[in-house]
Amino acid sequence: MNYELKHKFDCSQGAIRAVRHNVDGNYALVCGSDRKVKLFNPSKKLMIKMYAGHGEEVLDAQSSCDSAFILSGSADKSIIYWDVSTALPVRRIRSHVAAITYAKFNEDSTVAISGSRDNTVQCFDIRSRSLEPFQTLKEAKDCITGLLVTTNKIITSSLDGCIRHYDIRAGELTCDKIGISITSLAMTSDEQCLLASCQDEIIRLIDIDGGEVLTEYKGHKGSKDYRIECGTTKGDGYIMSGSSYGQMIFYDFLEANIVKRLPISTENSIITTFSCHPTENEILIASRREIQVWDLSDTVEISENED
Amino acid sequence: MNSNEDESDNQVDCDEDTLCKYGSQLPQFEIDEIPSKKPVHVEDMIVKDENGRRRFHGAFTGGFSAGFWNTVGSKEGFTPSEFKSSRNEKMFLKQMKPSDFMDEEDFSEFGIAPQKIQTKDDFEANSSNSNKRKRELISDGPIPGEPVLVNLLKPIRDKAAVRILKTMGWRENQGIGSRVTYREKKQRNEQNKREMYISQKYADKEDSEDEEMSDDEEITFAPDDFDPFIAEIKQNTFGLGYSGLRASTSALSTTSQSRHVDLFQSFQVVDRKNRKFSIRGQAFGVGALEEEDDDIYAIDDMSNYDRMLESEKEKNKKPLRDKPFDASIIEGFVRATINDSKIEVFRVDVPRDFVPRNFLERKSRFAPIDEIKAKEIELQKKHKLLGLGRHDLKPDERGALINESKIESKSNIEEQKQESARKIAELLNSKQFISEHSKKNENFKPFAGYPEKQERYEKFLALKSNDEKEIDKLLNDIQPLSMSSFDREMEKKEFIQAKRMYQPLDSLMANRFIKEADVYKEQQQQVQKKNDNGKEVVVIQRSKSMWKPHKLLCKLFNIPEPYGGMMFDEEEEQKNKKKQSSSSLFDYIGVPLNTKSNFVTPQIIPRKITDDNRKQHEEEERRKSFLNAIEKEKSFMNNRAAAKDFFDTKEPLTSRKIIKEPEKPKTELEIKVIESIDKKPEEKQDLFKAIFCDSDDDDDATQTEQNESKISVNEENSSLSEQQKSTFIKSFLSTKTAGEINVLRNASPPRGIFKNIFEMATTQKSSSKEKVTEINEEDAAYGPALPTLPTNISTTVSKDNESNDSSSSSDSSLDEKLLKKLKKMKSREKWVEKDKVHKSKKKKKKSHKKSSHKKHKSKR
Repeated sequence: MNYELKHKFDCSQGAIRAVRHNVDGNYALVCGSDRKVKLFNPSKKLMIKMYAGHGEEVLDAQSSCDSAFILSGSADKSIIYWDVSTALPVRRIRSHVAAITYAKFNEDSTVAISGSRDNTVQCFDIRSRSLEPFQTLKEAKDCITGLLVTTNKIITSSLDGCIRHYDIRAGELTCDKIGISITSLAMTSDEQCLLASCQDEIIRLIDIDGGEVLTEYKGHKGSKDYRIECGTTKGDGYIMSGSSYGQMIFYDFLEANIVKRLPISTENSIITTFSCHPTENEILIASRREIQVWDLSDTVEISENED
Repeated sequence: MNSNEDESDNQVDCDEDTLCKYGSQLPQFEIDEIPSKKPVHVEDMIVKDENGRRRFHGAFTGGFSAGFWNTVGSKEGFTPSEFKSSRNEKMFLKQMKPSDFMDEEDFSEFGIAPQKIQTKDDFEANSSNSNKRKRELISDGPIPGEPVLVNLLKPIRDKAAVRILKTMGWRENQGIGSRVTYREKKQRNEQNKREMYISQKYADKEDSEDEEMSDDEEITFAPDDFDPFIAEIKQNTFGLGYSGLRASTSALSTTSQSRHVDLFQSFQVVDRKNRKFSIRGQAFGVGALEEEDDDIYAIDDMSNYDRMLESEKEKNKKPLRDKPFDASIIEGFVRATINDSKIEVFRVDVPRDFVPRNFLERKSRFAPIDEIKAKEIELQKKHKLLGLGRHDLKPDERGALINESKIESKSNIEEQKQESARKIAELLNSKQFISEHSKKNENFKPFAGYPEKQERYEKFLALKSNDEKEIDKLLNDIQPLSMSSFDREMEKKEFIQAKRMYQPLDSLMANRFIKEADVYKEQQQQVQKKNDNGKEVVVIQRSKSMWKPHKLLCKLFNIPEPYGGMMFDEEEEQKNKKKQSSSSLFDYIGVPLNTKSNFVTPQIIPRKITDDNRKQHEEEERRKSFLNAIEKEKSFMNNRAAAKDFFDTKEPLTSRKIIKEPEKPKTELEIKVIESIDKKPEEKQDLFKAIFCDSDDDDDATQTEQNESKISVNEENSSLSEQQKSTFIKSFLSTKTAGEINVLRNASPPRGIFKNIFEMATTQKSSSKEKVTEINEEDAAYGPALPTLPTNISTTVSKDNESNDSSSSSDSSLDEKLLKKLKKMKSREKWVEKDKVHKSKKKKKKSHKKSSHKKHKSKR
């Protein structure tokens, strides 16, 4: 596999809390600790727009499917629905009672779903004027640390060690209790498995249908103390995880061994967030104030060979 | 002369001193001024009023003048009064009086309309036209209302006595006497009321007058005027104070509190807000074109009522008033002339030898029953003979049922007894007995009305399988082809329902208890796994529950609402749960017992098993006597034990007492507990070890448990803690099955409804095993090509595993101990109560939660 650092740029918005690609992957949203969200064109290292209005550091953001709006959740307990072009908040929702850890759209960006440290997940009809959630999922016993929205499911992970699948189609709540606090949740691209980064520094690959642990990925450090995201590369060839010592860890999907320790920062900074391009082999990795654009050119080939 | 002059001088001096001057002195003229000789003429003297205006002009110059040149205008001209009306001061039409056009001088003492303050006429005299409240005067005469003559013969002047009284300060309607305070007045009033119960209304009126008057001693009032109380001799038989309906009281008594119902007075009605309002007038109005009838009720009198079938003449002859007051006659009634008070009694001549008796009853115990009665009784008992009343079976019938050869009557009773005992023992051992007997005693026929259906049901019962497919297959074979698929499905459901309804106990028991051996096996497997890996395996516990997505969520996700939006809301679900928790027999009929949520994985509760084998024998004996009670205790612990209660309520719940019985020899643990009662907590480590099976772990959970147990031991000095009790119970139960232990237990095979209990139990067990295997298969059949799992990954389903990371190490050490014990006990089985398992599981969860919280905090 070929790891190539294309370029890097300083976002100058404090510590970067989250990096998110937009739908087509041409743009990136960067949430900073200086209470701002910035829209970048990562390939051109160009800052397009700045969205200022949060009162605390922004923890998550997502752009809508038509890239017309941005949803951002902040530690100031508010969710803001931004208009991309004017950079003005269209709606500001303050129904949570604690910091918002995740803010997600559904597939066609009609519902805003937010996970919070108040142990709830709230669903908003973001296009309507109502600022109250029409449904609140209160089942979690601890902070929401992961939120995934698929076409028919809302999957949450919580520090209480449970992954909850709210199946809208079946009207069923499936609670998978792992017993170890989950710090981050990701889904494989085939939507068959979940990656749960647990507090015991193990990433667990969980079968969604069967509800069992398929593989455990061990080797990275830091998820005991930090919320370190995990994810898969394009085509699910590798499992990625940040670490607390400036490295990006790549696991082999099947063998569960560490394939690569990618040095991101020499200062042993914590790699908490990254974002994979939805179509290309490009990864945005955030370390401290800067964002690095990496190209993993032949991951797909390798994964295909292995398959 | 000189002398004379002197004298005269002296006189002049004296005159000047004593000089009196009359008239006004002329003004002293100035030397230069010459006084005019023209006197002032009368016509020149002008009379002016106090304002300096000239009023009298003389006859030729106009005479008297008023206003402005004898007009109502002014110098500026006539200004009519303006129309002025504002919100505050409304304009109102003023009636002009002559005085409005008169000058002020005219009202003065010498004016044309002199005014002065005078005492009013009616103040001093009889104030007949005054606005003062008038005393009610009711005439008892033919013309009701105010006495006519009083008005006609009104004296122009008061009588001399009245005049004298008035001058002394008396006013009309006042009583005579010195002025009194309010309190005194009230007292007197009440006293009077008591006395004057005859004329109640007077007192009432006075009473309602002023209630809120303060008790000021300085303010005095004139005493009230009371009619003198004339004591009347009681001549009637009425209650005290009661006088019958009188003409005077009904008609015009304005007192609202009059005793009698006053039909013609306005009704006092209290509305919702407790305000009084009255209803007045006629109930049925008179139309515009109608003429109103003579309102005979407006002026009411008892004379308006015909109460006697007499002619008017007679009535007139004896007016009510004139009647002498007779105590024996109620007013308005006449003494009856004919006395009809005799009651005729009819008597039947009864023959002398007649003895009354009930023909449906027997004369004595030994007498034969009446034939009809006998038949009735037989009919009543018939159902017993046919069905449930197996105790009514005759010995022959009973013998035939149990394949008994007829026993000849033997003179030797002892021999007979022995013989029968032997035979019974034989029968009990034979397994054949169960099936045959139960078949013969098949009494319950839920579909007796449809013999075909009943037949099918029996076949269905005979299948003894819970497997849906098998049932389907069987029923498909039996059911006639003409049946529709819906009917088939319905019948299947009915059968299952009926089966369940009839064997609630059976499935209950199977659900509640799990063989300990199975639990050990599972535990063993887990321990092995752990040993292989050297590290704990995380096993996901999956639980599913209903969740209702909001309809808007479904809409926005473009997903149809699950179950057509007919799912229960959470609140409703909770309500339903509450409803379900109330245990009743009927809950079992509708609700399937073996649902997934019901089935909770068992867990071992560690217990202390005494090593001494010799003790076991003693314990066994005790166990025999206690077993029944303990079993019952268990069943009571289950919150859904209603069905069982229903079936045996005869024996009271006595298990607790039994457990606490003092004669029981103490186990090790018990001895330790008693020893350590007086010790300090630090010295009790041995005890805690014994209780918690030497768990060396410094886990949070166990620590807290220890603390709790410390408290409990300290508190319950004499009695044992709950945990220990449970271990005792289990130790009693552990070694032998109930049948082996308890000889007294009814060993006869189950009949009737109890028939299928054991069959169910076995099937339940097998089915649960099947479940596990099925799940394993599913796991293997997971969709995309998956990597071969590493050895450390467990394939068992979550619910099979209860151990968490926190408690696992302690569990493993515990398990080893239990295994040792198990080996000793070999094949003996034990039943673990499920409810308790569940509880302990909860505890673990809680402890885990705490620990996770702590971790989380530390992270922050």
